[in-house]
Amino acid sequence: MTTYTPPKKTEAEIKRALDREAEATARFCDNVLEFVLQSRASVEYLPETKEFFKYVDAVCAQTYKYAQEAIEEAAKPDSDIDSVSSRTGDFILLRRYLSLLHQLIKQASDASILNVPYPLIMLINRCAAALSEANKAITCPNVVPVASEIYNFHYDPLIHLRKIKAPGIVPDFPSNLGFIGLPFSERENTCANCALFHEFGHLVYDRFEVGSKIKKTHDKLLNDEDPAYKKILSLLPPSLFTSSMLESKGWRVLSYWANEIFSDLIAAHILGPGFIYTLWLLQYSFPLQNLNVFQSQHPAFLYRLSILLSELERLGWKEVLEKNSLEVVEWIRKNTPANPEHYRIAEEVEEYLESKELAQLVKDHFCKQIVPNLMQLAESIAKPIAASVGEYKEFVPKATAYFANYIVPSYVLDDDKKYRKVPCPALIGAAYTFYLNGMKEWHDTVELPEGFSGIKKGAFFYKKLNQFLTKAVSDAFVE
Amino acid sequence: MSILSKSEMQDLLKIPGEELDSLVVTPPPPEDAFDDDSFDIRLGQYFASVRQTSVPFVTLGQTPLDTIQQRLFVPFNHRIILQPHSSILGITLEYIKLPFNVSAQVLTKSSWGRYYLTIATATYVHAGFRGCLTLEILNSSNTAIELKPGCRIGQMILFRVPGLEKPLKHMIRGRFAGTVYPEFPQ
Repeated sequence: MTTYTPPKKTEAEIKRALDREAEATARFCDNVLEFVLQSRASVEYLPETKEFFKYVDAVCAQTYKYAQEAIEEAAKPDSDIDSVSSRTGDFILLRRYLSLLHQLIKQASDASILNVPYPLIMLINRCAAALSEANKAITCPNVVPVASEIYNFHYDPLIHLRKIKAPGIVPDFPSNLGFIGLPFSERENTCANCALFHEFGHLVYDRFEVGSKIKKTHDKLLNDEDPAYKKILSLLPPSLFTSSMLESKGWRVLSYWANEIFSDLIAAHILGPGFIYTLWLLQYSFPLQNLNVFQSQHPAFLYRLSILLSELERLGWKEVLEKNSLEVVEWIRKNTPANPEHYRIAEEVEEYLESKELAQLVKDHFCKQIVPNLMQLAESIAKPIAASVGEYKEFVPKATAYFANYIVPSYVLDDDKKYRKVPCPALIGAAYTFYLNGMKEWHDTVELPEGFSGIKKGAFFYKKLNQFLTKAVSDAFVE
Repeated sequence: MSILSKSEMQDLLKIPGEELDSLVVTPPPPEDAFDDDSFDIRLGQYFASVRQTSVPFVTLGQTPLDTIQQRLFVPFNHRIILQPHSSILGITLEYIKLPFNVSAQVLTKSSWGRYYLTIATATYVHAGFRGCLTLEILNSSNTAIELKPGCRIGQMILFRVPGLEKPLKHMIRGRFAGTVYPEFPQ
């Protein structure tokens, strides 16, 4: 049997290949820079977006220089052919790196012309700065807003871009930047965009290496032969499953769920009840029958709500929650199963784990062992940015009254007749409190032109509430 | 119709916002923003400009806003450059609620006026108004002008409407009430 061996390339062919790769890469750089330049001329970006584009400039400049050097090197009659050959491979990697950056540039540029609620992004970045300040060894990234198709998402380039081993030619991606995607359709919906704080939680999860901290607990349980795991292992046919397979597959499922629960908890620490309302209202985006199902990447929606409610109650928000939004609290209490065993697991998870029993046990292990651990971690990490129950109690009634009177409540008059700035969690809480109570005052006192009735009127008022909230949060940055 | 003095304005600011005769200005102007008979208003962070489109002309009340308008957010400590002989819609940083019996006038600060910058053409504000004020900013000079959100760009003078004991209308009226972004006509 003979194997096919491709004909060996001549030196001239290798040099020509390098020329082509280098030229193509340089052309790509030109295109990327042209796009950045065009966008830059038409809109004013947030500082984080500008910083990202500055990085893109630097990457393109370095790549261009490298391409120039490579072409010159290849043109020399005495050039080292091995070095020429290895540079050709570099350009393939560089173009992959540039194409990933290019996608982010496009989305960052889109976000800047779509009226996204920038004040929320600024608030998130204020939290990031506070976390970095409190944890000197960790850089919690500022976020660059990007526009996405349908869903909110997070993207930490340090996790993803480094997988492409750009060959030390381009500068490292700035560790202080991460990305958060806002769906086009929700761009002006500031209330719903509080979900961005959950996405920020994912970035915190990455940077604080919460996954590896949880993994240690998970591995320890496995090694200590935790009774739950002993039971899992005893159920497995030895020929099919091994403990290492359980470790990797089970961990994969657990880590997705852990990331979600942790991110919810971080958002709840920052916003207080505001985030529970955001999540609660998201139920209308899910098919109802799936609310109690653990999916492959997300724990059951109802489980997430129940964890948030119990955690906020533990942290002292019980009275506030019941006073401002009893309907929501009662809905969660009524609809969430008391026992984690009653949640269902999606078939895709069972198929992935190749056993229904195993999936059930992994889920129980997650709920009983991992989630309490996540609660502790979230509480300790979020301490510098946590909302204050006292401030919330003080400001929410006043801010809600301002909303009711068609006034942006960024500052309210206190009992001493002095204006005081309303903290952002209280602003968000007040907006939701007003909304959840039906915005009755506006329906009674705001007269709209003919043609505004029924659902159109409701939509107008909801949009107005979001605008008021955006304005109020932006006023938090007035010095 | 008498112009309100500094102390009268500050007294009105101390009435709770939900009262009909209260004056609300939020964020509140700093103490040095008050003159004897006016207070300074600052430039907000949102702008709206007319974008290049294929729409041949606009017809008041008929041309859909989205076809011509481009909104822009400029953070504090950043700037926007207004080219010579060009215009842009801006908004006041302050959200204002006037008492039911007080109307107002918005004027360009004279220091900006001397750069040939005007901020408002429709300068009268009705009693009971609520919202941020849309500013029609026009640079009629031959040089570009840098504008920074938060800068003091105009001043407001308040007038008491004589003989008005109670509001003429109890309802908050109109689509422009409660404006927080610069708005083109609808």
